[in-house]
Amino acid sequence: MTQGSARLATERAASGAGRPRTRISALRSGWPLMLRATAALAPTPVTVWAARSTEAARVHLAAGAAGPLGGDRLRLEVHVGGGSALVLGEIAPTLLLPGPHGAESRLDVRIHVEPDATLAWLPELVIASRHCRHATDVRVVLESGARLLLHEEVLFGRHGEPSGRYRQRIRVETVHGPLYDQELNAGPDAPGWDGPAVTAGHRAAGTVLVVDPLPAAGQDPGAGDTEGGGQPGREPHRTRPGHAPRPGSRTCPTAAREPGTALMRLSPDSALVSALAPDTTTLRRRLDRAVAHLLRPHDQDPAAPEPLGV
Amino acid sequence: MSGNRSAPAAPTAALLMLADGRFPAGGHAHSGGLEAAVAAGRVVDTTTLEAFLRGRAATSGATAAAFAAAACTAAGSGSAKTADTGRTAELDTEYEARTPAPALRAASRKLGRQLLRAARTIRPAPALDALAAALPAGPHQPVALGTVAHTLGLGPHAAAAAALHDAVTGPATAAVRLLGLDPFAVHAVLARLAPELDRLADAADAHAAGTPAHALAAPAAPLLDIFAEHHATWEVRLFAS
Amino acid sequence: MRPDHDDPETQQAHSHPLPGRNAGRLARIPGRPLRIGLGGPVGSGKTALVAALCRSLAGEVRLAVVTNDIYTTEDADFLLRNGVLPTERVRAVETGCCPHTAIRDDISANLEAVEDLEHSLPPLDLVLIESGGDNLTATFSHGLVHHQIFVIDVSGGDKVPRKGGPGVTSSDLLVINKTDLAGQVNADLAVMARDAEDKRGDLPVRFLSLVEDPQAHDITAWVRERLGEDG
Repeated sequence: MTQGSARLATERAASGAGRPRTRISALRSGWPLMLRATAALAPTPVTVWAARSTEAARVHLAAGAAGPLGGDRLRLEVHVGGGSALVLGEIAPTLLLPGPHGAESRLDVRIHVEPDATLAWLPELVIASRHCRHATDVRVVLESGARLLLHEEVLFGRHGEPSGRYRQRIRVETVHGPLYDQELNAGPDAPGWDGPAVTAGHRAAGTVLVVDPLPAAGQDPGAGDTEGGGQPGREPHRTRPGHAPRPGSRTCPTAAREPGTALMRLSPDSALVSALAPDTTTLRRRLDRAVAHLLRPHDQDPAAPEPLGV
Repeated sequence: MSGNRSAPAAPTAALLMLADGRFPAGGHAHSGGLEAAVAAGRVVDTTTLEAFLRGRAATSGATAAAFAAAACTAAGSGSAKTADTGRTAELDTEYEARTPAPALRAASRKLGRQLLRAARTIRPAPALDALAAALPAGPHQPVALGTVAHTLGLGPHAAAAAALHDAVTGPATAAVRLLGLDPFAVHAVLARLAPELDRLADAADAHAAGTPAHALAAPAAPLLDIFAEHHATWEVRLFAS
Repeated sequence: MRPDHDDPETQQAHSHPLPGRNAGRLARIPGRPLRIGLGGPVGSGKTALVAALCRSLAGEVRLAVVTNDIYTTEDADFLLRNGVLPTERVRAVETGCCPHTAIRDDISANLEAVEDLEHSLPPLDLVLIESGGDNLTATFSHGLVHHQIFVIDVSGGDKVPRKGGPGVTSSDLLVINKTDLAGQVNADLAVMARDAEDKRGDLPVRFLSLVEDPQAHDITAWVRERLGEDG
């Protein structure tokens, strides 16, 4: 049994002239969770989004051992300081394996994003191998003006094998209260999990959650605000003219054209993409397309239909 | 004395009325995602229906049960006259966070408003007025259900049982209408699900009182969410959700 | 969420022993619109009549429409396409394959739609609630509407009034529609009028041909009378 705890923190670097930068103020690996500061690679829509107002620090998580194995207790703490930006990636997929005594492995992730800070967390695929027993628990607290992009994918069993027991809870709280709280349960203990209400036998599932309360730089933040807030159950919120593209919309072409995907507005400032697919390549393509739609450059008309369909 | 032989029975007549599909709170027009599942070719017969219902009960059914039970307990707490609307509003917010699909949020609030409207006529009670005042846009359906259950003299276990009953009988009835399935075969499915529904109601009941709202169950059903969002864009549909 | 039956006198009225035309009549609540239901079999011309009423009452009455089509928005779309009412004045209610349930057994979705219209478009004088096409037994609950119009048409044959059913016998107004087709389908209007009177006593019956009378003058006049009543 392994117990590992890693901690990562960033802060906004004092800068004279030019764009503000992000400094890594804590980088403590806890075997097998190894943290590595990395150089920026070619920009992606996500890294461009993350670095919108502050140059983002880049860190990768590398597993120092196989697993997690049953019985492991792992913990990752991420603290993104006010005004800073962090892109946290992962080197390789995670293969969840059973331990010798059938004990549950656990990964607890605690994320705190301070005011006006940004986190893009892009863990690699998690594979719930046969007979594994694992629980991931992710808690995110977003302070005022904080931005988040959280991408996760899971594959239910390696090729040709049934899924092990897998639980993954993700909870995001903002200053307005709980925004998102969902636990995906798969494997032998979860009734109906592979049936037509939950995954319908799709082997891969994933979500991308985007919270982005900031108006696009250089645009009038107040114009044409018609959003009611506090009126759930009424018409979906409309895109604000003069704002950065609001994440998600009921009429988004992604929902209309992609059979296993939905782009869902959670609040005026946040959206969830949820996708199911027969394989991880298709899943990644569906999620990436939806993310590109969500994060497309702000000078495009947010209301214009995006040619997402095949 | 005969009273020594068994504990006082839990009220049943009010529970049967509340859980009855004929209770006029608008549930008949909702298929619980079944219409979209049928259109996607995912539910075609009683076997696939059973898998659908099993998954629905364990996910959105379990969430509804947890929140109905907790709302029932909250309605019974506080002073004798006024319910604990702070806790009730918190439950409503937490349920919202567990319902990512806007179409399902809208359907839940609509059903909550309709249930509250019906209940305020059928059995007016201060707790119902307090709920309407605390959540002017309408409470989520499980929150309304739990509060209504309390005003009918029911406890959290009964509220959870009603939520789970509703979670499976709505789609089951829709399957009979949409697929022309044999109603006996469909009820055989429901009978097989009964022990699981009881187990889920027990679990919901166990967390009705002491568990903080944020720690209540949050089981996800990605496909129900995706179905709901696609369904909401259809130009022609028979069911509201 | 506002209870619709909060008037104690209404509660009294619900226990009225007679199953006839005045049993459980919904009381008018001052400041809230008159609600008139339009029911009848599929294809009898309910939507066309609603459109005609909207046109002929436009500018005179602040009105809105709730449709209960089997296919959700079909009727609402007809009204919108024909430019009879702007989008915000039409609400479509899904009925889950059971249009009669939504207007009779479980009226909550319709009450919700009415209240939604009242809330978003105050003040309203009149809400027309069109049922989904159903059969001769479908009628509106007295909890939902103040008056109901039942629409049949001559192409179903002149036996329809004789067959009766609650729509024919006890609706507040029976409309026998498409009289311009009577000759083509060998329907005898005199027989229909006589049978309807047999079934309905002194309750009114009106013949209608929207081809000949696109404004539906008689029906409009009847609706105006209802609007003028104190309720």
